[in-house]
Amino acid sequence: MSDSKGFLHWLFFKKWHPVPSVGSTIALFSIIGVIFVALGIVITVINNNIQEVTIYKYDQKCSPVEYNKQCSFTYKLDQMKAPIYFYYELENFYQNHRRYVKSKSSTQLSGEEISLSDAEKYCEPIIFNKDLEQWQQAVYITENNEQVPKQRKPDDIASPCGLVAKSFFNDTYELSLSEKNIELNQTGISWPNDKGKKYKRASDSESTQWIDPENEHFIVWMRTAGLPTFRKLWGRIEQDIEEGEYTIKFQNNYNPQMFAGAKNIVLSTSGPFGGKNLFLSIAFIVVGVIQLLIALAFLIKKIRAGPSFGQKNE
Amino acid sequence: MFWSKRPDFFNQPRQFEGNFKGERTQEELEQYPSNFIKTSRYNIVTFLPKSLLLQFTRYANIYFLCIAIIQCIPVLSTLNPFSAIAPLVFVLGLSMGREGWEDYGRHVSDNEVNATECVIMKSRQMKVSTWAELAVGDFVLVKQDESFPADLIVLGSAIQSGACYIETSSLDGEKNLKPKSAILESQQLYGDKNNYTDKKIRVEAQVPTQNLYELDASLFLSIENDEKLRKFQLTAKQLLLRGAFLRNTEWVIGLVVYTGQDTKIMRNADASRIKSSEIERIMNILILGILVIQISLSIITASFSSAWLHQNGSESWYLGYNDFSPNLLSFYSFFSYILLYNTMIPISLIVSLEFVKVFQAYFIEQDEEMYVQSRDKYAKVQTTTINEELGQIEYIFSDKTGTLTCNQMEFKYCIIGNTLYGQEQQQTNNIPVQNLDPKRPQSAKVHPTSEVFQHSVFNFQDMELSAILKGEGSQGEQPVNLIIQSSDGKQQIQIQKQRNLIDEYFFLLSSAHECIIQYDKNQNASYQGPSPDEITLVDAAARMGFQFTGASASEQNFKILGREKKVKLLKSFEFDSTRKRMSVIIDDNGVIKLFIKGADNIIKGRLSPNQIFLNQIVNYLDDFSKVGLRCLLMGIRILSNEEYREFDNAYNNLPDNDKRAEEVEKLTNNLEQNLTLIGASAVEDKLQQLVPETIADLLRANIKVWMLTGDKLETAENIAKSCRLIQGDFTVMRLSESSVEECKKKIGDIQETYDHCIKENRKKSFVVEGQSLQFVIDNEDLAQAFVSMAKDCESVVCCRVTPKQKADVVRLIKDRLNKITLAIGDGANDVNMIQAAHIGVGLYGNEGMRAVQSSDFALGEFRCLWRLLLVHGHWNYIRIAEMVLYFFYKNMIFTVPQFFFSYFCAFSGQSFFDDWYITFYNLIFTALPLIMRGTFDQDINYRQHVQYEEKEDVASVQKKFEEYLKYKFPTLYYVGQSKSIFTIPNYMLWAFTGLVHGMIIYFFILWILDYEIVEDNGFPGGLAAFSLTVYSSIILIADLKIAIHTKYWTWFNFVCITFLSILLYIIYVIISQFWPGTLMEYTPFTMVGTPHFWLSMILIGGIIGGLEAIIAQLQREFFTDPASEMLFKVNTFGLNQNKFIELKEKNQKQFKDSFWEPLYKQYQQQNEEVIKFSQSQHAE
Repeated sequence: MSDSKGFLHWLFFKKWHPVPSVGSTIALFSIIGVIFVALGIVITVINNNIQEVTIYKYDQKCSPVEYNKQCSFTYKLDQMKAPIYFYYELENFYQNHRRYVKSKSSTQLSGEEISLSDAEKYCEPIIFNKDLEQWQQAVYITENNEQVPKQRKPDDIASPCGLVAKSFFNDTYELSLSEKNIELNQTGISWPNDKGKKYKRASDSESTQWIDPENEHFIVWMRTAGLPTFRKLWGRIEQDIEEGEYTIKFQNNYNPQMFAGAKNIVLSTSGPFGGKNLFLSIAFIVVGVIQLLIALAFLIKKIRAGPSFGQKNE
Repeated sequence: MFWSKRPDFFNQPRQFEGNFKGERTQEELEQYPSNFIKTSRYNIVTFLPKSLLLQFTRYANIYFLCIAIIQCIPVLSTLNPFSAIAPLVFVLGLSMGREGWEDYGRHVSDNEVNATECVIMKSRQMKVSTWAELAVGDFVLVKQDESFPADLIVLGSAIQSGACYIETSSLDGEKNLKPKSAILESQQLYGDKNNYTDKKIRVEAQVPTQNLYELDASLFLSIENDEKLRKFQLTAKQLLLRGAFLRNTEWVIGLVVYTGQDTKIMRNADASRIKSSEIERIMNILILGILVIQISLSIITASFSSAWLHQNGSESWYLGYNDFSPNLLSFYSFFSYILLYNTMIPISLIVSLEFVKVFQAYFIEQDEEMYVQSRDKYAKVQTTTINEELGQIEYIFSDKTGTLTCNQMEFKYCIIGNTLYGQEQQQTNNIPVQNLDPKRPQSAKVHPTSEVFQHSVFNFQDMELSAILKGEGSQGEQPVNLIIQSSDGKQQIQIQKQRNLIDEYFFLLSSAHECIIQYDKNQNASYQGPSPDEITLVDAAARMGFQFTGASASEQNFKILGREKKVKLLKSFEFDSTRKRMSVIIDDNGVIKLFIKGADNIIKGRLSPNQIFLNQIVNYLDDFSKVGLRCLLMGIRILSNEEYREFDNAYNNLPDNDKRAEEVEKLTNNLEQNLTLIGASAVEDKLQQLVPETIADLLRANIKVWMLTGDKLETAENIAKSCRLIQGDFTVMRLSESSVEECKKKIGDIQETYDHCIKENRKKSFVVEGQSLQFVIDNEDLAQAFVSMAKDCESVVCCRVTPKQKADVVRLIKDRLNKITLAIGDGANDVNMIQAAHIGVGLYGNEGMRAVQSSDFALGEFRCLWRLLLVHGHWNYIRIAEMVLYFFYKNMIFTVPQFFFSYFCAFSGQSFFDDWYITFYNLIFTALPLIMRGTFDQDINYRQHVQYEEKEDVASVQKKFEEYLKYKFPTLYYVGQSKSIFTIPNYMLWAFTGLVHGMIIYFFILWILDYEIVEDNGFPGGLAAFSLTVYSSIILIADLKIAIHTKYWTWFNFVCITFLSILLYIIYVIISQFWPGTLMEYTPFTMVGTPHFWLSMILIGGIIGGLEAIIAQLQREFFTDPASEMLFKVNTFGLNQNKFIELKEKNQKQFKDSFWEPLYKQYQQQNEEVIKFSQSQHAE
């Protein structure tokens, strides 16, 4: 056989015709089962160390419930270890709605100017400044060291345009324990690379853009959620907190009743596998145990039936 | 359907006059179809619209066009329009290009045929013209070896008697010459091509039919100078067929009677059609089904959307709806969901299938085992769309001549007196024999492309016989003492010694025949005759030294053992299918002898009592007919001068009317009595290589084999026997009746025999003759009865069938039983059947390329069918069937998450995945592993070792084992025949599995990414992260599933799954990290750093992989199929063998009472079966 033919032969006819035997099935299942159970146990242990507190419908805790007002309430928290992540959570908010998801201009968000036709194409139905909320149309220009309110031109293209930007969640929070302010670090809360790459300030940002696209809260908001109930990171508490009655002061801007939803606050620590996730640990343990049981069943049957099991065709 | 409509007046009987001047008006030209032939479908202008129209007769193409259109409407489209248009254009372009190329070929061949030159006689002048210009009523001059441009009536021939010979191989596949002749009166008028009559000549002919052997016409000639025309009835004997060749005749003058589409050859041609496979048809139905599901799902989602909008639309201020109509929006979302669920029926299925089929075709064409050295041909695949049907054949319709047989006869044995000669000859047929006469060319040339095809092969060798003929040895001196007397006792001859008997025998062979001698350019002589058997006998006699050197009307010349001899030829009575005998009366030096040869039952009944050789000969004949040799008996009768004179008077005084033929028959019948038997001959119709073995294996694969031939019933039956179509234990039922009533009666009788056979579980075979077959085809009741019996017969033989009938038989089975059929043939006469069957196989034969051109697969020899069907067909069916199932599965797991996501995105039509991720899913990431599996997968191969072990004892065991596997292989063919893989329940199962797996993927990941804190840095995930994780899991599962289901791994499979699927996906993920404006932008890098991503993949891989493994294991335990049983055997065999040999070398003694003992026993057991098998093989 010549070399070239040898190569072709190898190419076409090098073959492996696997016939899994009972033995290999048992081995496979045992190994996978053990790994799964082990992983499940590790995850469970880690999960147990993660603390998570949800403050439901915090806007309802002030009376009367008024929007665009500051408000505060107290909440009893257990001891938690740093870092503690501070999330807001919205319910029944379809950030993944088709009309919503596509209503933004990534070109504009990355700091470039867009034409009217592009704005109409991508940002429908929020195209012009006049389509924005009242507070978004207002602009403050620094004149003589004083911020002077000024109205934007209503027929200019809104920057950023689109539904996602317009519906920006603009509640702000402060946390304190017996008058002592606990710092909420609001930097580094967006996905890596988003800031400065995906979202960039326009050159004349101050005069044309109603919000700074490099504002991390904005960036976090713009990364649309996958489900109608979602959390978004708002800040990080970088110190351990003690048990106590904490005061949460917040600017109550966003009205969840307008979409028949709710807004919550979530405080959570995290482990190497992220947040608390019971499902993950249960799933791994259950699947692992089932696989071990199957391996055992096959093993018992093999021992009982003798060596002929799985080789009955001989 | 592409013929232009045939005007009604074309279907009137023909009445026309010979056009002596060769001029005609336009009106006359339009009266009959022109001789211009058009088989092409398009011209430059009509190609684009017509072929596009053809493309859109496929449901799938219409569907994809609609999808592409919807995708172009921005308000409806969720995806990039380009991703729908590009594949559509690609698919259409591909098939239209092929269509165009094929039609170009038809144009070329049409032009070639139409431009062929022929000679028209215009006022006795030869005018060169083309075939296309010929018209009804023209006089045409055709020279030797030219073919006829239209159907002609022969008026005059260069041969004085008006005879001429034609070869009709292009029409009925028979290579032998057919005698035709002008009627006597016209020969007198037109026998001189330079000076023929210019008088009026008129023809009345029937509407053209397709029957090659029929002409219903009358010729009106003006004779003896009066103007009154006399009528002469014409028969098929005067008809020269378009496409046939003139042989052995210098020239003929013919009158054109049927032109163009009226000619027999065109009437026998069917319009070609597009073939699509069974699987494709079911697939189309499934696609329709899925379309219904897709539309209903879209309607459901759209109505949910409407409900959601009604309830929440105005509340959800962030959606910016003001002044909106929920109904209109949900109407839009209906179309959006049609587009999103479109992934259930991807266009790539059709593209992938085409690719796989082309690759499969490539490997069929490369197969070394289908290489035929004598013709230097590999298999060729001309229709790639039906590869998998090769694995589903239930009926094979095979031509005989040139397909099963080589169309070569071999003189095998002769029995002279009580002695059998010819037992020493060699088996091989291609060894050139020593020429007895240096003037004659060697008959059996090794090279297949020899110019003159030889009908006879001569390997006959018998030392004793040649010694006797040379006058040596003593055997020739054995006394015979045979005295043959004329009936009145006045004349007698005495044959004293064996030697004299032998002389008489061979003299009979060289005298009693209808052959003519033909010389080629080098003055080499060869014989030509009406049947190959006859040629073979004359040829054999010549080689034994009894050479026939020519004949005139009243004389025969011989060269017998070197001496010239002349005898008077008094009478000659031709062979025909009812007489089944041929005789001559010669005057041999004053002794009037009647030499006769004929079928054994005919001759036996005509012998005078007390035959001394009869018993011995009959014993031999029984043996011969069992192996399928064609036997003839030879007899002599001596006539006294008085007897002959009496006969001659009676013969000459027969009335010259319609009954003449009958009277002649009666007379000769009386004469051919009181015969004395002197010997017999056995001729073998040479089979092609491995034909009986192939047929036996095909029968074992439960394929019914039908043989269709133009031959006589007896011949056909003999061949059927020799190629094991009819075996010793078969009950043969014959149907050969000449009227419908008789036919019905006979069918009733046969039904009884048949029921009897069924009861006793006997094997049976049906032999049916052409005429009866026509009744069966035309009569609904008969057809029903025939098919119901024939379908279960192991074999069926149809003889004396026309090309059209061959196709009709195929259709009879195909339409009534709905089974997959295959037709195989080598000649132009097989074209119809090749086109009619689901699969047409053409053989490269001696009879031109027409069969190959119109076939789907072209092979070198019949034996290649074994590998084409049982190996490639079997594999391809499994490959394609599983591929289609898998395709639906992988698109199911891809669409299910999309469907459930719609619930979570307010039914808004948001796509769950990024545009290009959707496009690339089928196009790239999951395409190649599937294509590779569809190309390479094998359930089992009988070739287990690429190279045998060097150690000889091991190698021999390996070889034996392979032989055993090869023997078992045909039994696996049922898989495709019973359509056991691609079934609706199986499809449901796969679709259901897809649904379950899709749900597992979607919901598990949903729950894992619940609240979306995916990292220890506390980042929430979002839509992009969710989508990426699900998508990656789908790719993982799609590849895992295909890996689990790949039974046969090659290097390609491995590369495609790892590099061309997974690696490409990883690369694309990296690209999508930086793809601006997409959903995924800047997501992947972060996402792959999160534990949730990997934990999801591990969990899902573990669950689905585990599920699949359990199912596979349970299936192996409880539902083993023969293929995996065999595979299992192979593996344990190999395993045990290696261990055994290893240990055997180590220490043979240790076996006893050792750990390895059971293993050793197992190995022995394994070996026993193989040994048993190989022993049984040797016994055969």
